[in-house]
Amino acid sequence: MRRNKVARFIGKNIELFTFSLPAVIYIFVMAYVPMFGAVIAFKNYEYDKGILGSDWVGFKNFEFLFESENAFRITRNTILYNISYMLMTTLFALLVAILLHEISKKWLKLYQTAMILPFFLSWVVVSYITMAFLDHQNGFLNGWLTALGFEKVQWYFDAHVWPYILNVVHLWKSIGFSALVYFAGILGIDAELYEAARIDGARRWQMIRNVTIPQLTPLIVILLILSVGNMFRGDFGLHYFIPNNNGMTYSTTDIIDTYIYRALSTIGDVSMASAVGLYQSFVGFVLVVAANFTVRRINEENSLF
Amino acid sequence: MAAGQDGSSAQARKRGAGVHPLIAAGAAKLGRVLLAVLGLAAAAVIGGCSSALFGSDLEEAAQPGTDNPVELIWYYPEYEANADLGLVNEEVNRIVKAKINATVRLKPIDFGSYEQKMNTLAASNAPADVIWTSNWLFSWTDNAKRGVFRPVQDLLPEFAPRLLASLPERFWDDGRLGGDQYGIPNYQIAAMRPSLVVQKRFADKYGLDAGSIRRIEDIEPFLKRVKEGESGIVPFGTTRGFYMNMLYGIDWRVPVYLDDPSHTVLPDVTPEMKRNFELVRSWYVKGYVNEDSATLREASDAYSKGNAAAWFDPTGKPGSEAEFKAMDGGYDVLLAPLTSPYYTGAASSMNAISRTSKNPERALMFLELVHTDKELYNLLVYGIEGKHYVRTTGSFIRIDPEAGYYTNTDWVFGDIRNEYLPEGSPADKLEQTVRINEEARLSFYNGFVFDGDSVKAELANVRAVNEEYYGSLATGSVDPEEYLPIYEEQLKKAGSDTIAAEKQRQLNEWLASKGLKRHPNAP
Repeated sequence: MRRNKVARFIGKNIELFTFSLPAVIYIFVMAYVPMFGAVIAFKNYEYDKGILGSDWVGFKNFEFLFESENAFRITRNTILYNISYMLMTTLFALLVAILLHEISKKWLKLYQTAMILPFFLSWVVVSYITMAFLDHQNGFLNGWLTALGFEKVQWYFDAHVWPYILNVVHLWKSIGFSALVYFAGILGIDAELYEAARIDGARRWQMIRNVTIPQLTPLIVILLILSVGNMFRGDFGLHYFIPNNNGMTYSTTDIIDTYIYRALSTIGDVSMASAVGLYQSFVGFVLVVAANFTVRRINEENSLF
Repeated sequence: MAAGQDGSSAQARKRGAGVHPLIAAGAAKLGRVLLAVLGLAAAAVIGGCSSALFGSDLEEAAQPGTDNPVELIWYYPEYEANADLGLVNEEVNRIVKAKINATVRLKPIDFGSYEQKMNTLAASNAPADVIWTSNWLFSWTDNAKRGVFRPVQDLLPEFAPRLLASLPERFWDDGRLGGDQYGIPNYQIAAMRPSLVVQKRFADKYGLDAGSIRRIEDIEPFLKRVKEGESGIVPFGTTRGFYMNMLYGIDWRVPVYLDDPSHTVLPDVTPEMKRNFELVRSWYVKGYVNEDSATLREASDAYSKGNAAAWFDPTGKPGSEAEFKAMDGGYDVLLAPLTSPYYTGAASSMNAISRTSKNPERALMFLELVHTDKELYNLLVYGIEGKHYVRTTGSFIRIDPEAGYYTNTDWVFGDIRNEYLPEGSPADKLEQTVRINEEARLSFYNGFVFDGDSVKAELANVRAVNEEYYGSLATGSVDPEEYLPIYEEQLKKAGSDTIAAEKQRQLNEWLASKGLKRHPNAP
């Protein structure tokens, strides 16, 4: 009886199941199977004994993270940067999308292409572009500063300037793509709404405020919720390559991902590195559940689960 | 309950009415297929990393002789990828196949990523037979403890007797940990003689007498003249500064003052270090030091552009003039040693047999060939004669760095006593090396090995602090007045005192076990 029901449910949705099969297998293999490896964080992993055979050490591998201030610092950096990236990208992408919609269509292709180009560059390439600006001896910025009679700035040694630099670089790289998404959203708005507004004598600004933005709100909310899910996952390339992995800037550039990478590659201790990784996953999990809970309290329709 | 279930299934039937009957029939199967596929995928993944899960057993080769042909894999570091590696590899195999019925796959990895790549390879139990290791890159002690290497003391006498006899006992000692022989040292300079390297063209132009330099401070007037006289030239190139215990009368095995009868382990930040950082800072402020050390990654970046007039070399080994000339754009250099040579040990370049090796015997036989076969050794270092280098007079050769194979690392491969001398090396390079190795001053604490297992967390954190501050302080990029106290405080927070205390405890035990209480230099 019960088997039949399941069979029928699957039979009814067989196309959908078939479509989802590759993704399900991918997630299962890449996310669920390796999850058992998390036990390594509680062991003193020795290669010859293997994961199961190595000795249990309890929470010893977590000690180094929490004995120092690093745990707090990388957690704070990861979250604050992601919040700021999220807000900045949404705000500016929205602005650009509306501008694109309002200007004449003549140069539209050019603007779009110019803005989306950085999206396809790798962070390594971007890091050399930023180095051309920030290099102490030959960088453009210091060249301009000295030309204007100011002192040179040691960009790669000054931790205070990096929150701004990283935000600008991130925005530069990501705005093209996000603006495109919103622009597509605007194009999907029924033209009759604008016509009606125009007949009623609405000005441009009024049309933007009363037609475009309300119509885009569902899209904005969905994209925001989706990015909350990635809140605890930092952008490794951005934070590793752009500040050139320079020690003096760690206090404002180090995020969990770069810290794990350094912990594994320089200390070479798999167990310690996975302890940090597990910590990241755990806090990330808590964060997603909390975000979803909050969204559900405000508007149940928009919550993820 | 049953009625409710029936009711809902009836509803389901109704809703499912539109489904094609064939599809509905296949649906039950699909569920099973789904499960099967997931199961298979899981099995494949688990199977794929079973060696990581369960560990791999030492597989003893059935036939230790040379009857069956085997293939060996050798990982070692290199400066740059060589286009003709394949050709050289073929030549290597021709020699090795004839002698021990084996072929070798040479797998060089660039220095910059050697540690990272080898860590990953070792953690995944990748197949390998010989792995290059040292005390400064891909740490042999850490990795021996993690079970990356196979001890070889049981195999050495039988399968590599000539190799065993070719190295001094002192060298073998340096590759032993807890009674097990892991490292097979390469014969090269085993002493350090921190030196200044100066481009000859500037030394001549500004009248620098390299012999007159006793301390690093003595170079400053020269740097001043270069700064004033040359544009576009960096007087002193550096990436990590030049602080070394040996320059300041501190023992190089354990941080203890050379003449300290109490054997007190020093903290990480000493007055000497402060003096050094202040000196570099003053050079930096005066514009003698390159300002871009933050964006340089490799030590050779300090001089490889050819625009640095002087730089620091911690080793100062005989023959390094030729190596530097090859890397600084072809300019001749002078070496000005700042100390007499100290014996630092053979652990700076060793090979070890991987635990994943299926043929450790043959791997050792191969290493014996590398160490004792002059043709094989020079092939590995210089490439193919007539193509990559030509012999000139005596044992001198002229290398063509553009010919497709050029390593500039004779010390990675075996026994440099077998090597041809590149033009520009002193004719007595090998004799000098042997003499220095024999005469170099031995540390009072030679043989003491610090075991950091009980302070693992502290070591990791101290390392993190060093990564954050050390480079910037040591290159003068930041003001020690402001940052040295911060650095010191962060080190303390990270547990540097705990490490020093543990080191002191182990040192005291070691001293007691040796029956040593007082320093011979003590008053």
